[in-house]
Amino acid sequence: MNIPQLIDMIDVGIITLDSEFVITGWNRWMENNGKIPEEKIVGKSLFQEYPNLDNSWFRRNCSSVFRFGSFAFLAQKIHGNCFPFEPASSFHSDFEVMQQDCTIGPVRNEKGDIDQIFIVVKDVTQIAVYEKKLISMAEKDGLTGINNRKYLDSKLIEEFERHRRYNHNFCLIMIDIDFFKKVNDTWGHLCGDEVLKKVTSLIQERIRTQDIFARYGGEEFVILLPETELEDGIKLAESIRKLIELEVMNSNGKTFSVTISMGISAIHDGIADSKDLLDYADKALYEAKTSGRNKVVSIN
Amino acid sequence: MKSENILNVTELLILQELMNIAFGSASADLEEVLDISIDLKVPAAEMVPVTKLKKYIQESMALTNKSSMVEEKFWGDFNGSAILVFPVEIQKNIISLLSAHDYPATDMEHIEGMDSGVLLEIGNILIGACIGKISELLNTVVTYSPPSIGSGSSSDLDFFIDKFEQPSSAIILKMEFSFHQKHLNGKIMIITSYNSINWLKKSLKLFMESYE
Repeated sequence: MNIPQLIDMIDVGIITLDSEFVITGWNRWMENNGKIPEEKIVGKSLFQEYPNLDNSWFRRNCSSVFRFGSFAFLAQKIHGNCFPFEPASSFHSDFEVMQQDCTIGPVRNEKGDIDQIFIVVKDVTQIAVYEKKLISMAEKDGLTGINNRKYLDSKLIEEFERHRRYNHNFCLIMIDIDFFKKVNDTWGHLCGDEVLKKVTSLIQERIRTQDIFARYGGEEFVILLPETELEDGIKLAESIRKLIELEVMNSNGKTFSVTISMGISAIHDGIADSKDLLDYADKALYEAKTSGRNKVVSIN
Repeated sequence: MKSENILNVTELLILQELMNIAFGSASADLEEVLDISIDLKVPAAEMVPVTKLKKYIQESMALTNKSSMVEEKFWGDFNGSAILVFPVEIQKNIISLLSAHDYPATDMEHIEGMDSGVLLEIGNILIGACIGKISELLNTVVTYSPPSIGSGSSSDLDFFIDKFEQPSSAIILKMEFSFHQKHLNGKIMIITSYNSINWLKKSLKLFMESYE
């Protein structure tokens, strides 16, 4: 088998370019995925066909290959893709475009001079899908689909650091569903699961996209509110409390309602670290529970 | 250790001279590629036993757990690994210098590992420039593996050094780089494999002959 045959049969894209970024080679994989036949693209400017590549990082990497004969590696994690092709398989619905790792290297002529470069395009969509799923599994709560405690802990540390550096305010609300054990004991655990899902979905609709909402454990939840003063946090908590109280739940033909108790605390100079803030909110929640439930209590 | 398996003092001096020429040419080209004025200086060549490599790298590269170390392997007649260390205090400045106008802001905020990506890219270009120019002068062609990034921790360094055959010696080519007017600097060390020595001896001889 000769080399041109191999280049057409290999399961990666191969393009060659001259020093003016004019396409001089385009293998069958590129034809199939780019949906442009070789004879229609060879001789054309790469940037005319793919204007997204006409930027300083792409030119910089190509220049280094032409100048030094080195290789450049454009990783999917950073660039996503160089060539906006459709995913090759319908199983890759997580991504609208194929995810690619690209390698750029020198092509030397008979004299040993670099007069062209090659780009190898590798479809890594499947790996990116698995990676995305793994990240999601590590950060999301399996039942409710909201963030888990591990994710909250990391965001809380980040937010605390932001406060320490730039003095940005933030609040934390701790939520507990009142008499949740009774719901489980009376209506069964499946019904309890439905309540957890319904409460989370109602809260999620009420908060902002930048707020971090997480299941803290069992029937306890936490909302981290960046750039929020205590007074605004209390207003939001009160509106959530009312929203849950008024909601009529349906599960297996039974209708009932639940209430929630909330403890809220805002960052201030007396708080040494993110755990301290959680402790304050927890104490406020304890007070809300012991003083009658279905209420919002703040500590600062 | 057999004398044919080590570079003698004269050969090390020739190698140092070759690095001087290579890096002079590389810095001019890098300036055009990166659009930033760059100095490559203090080149030095020496041989270090692999058993002492870890301590040597830690001390001469001023490694700490917070340093970022980009490693890249290269293959061919001239083969080995290169490491580039960015001191912790300049990492953020290098990232902002190179990425400010390059990457979409949304990507910068959302892609985890973006900072590492920028350091890998600049590390790859600097390492490629140095090795590419040395190879050119030695009249050979090398290929590269994708670079990887690690910290300056003891365990990351062990992982790197384990690749070198003991009880051999490694040829160390080291240099410092700095970006003009930006007060940014770092160090590059090229560690040539033991199996390159015989080829390197012949190539250095040919290199000198071409000047005679």
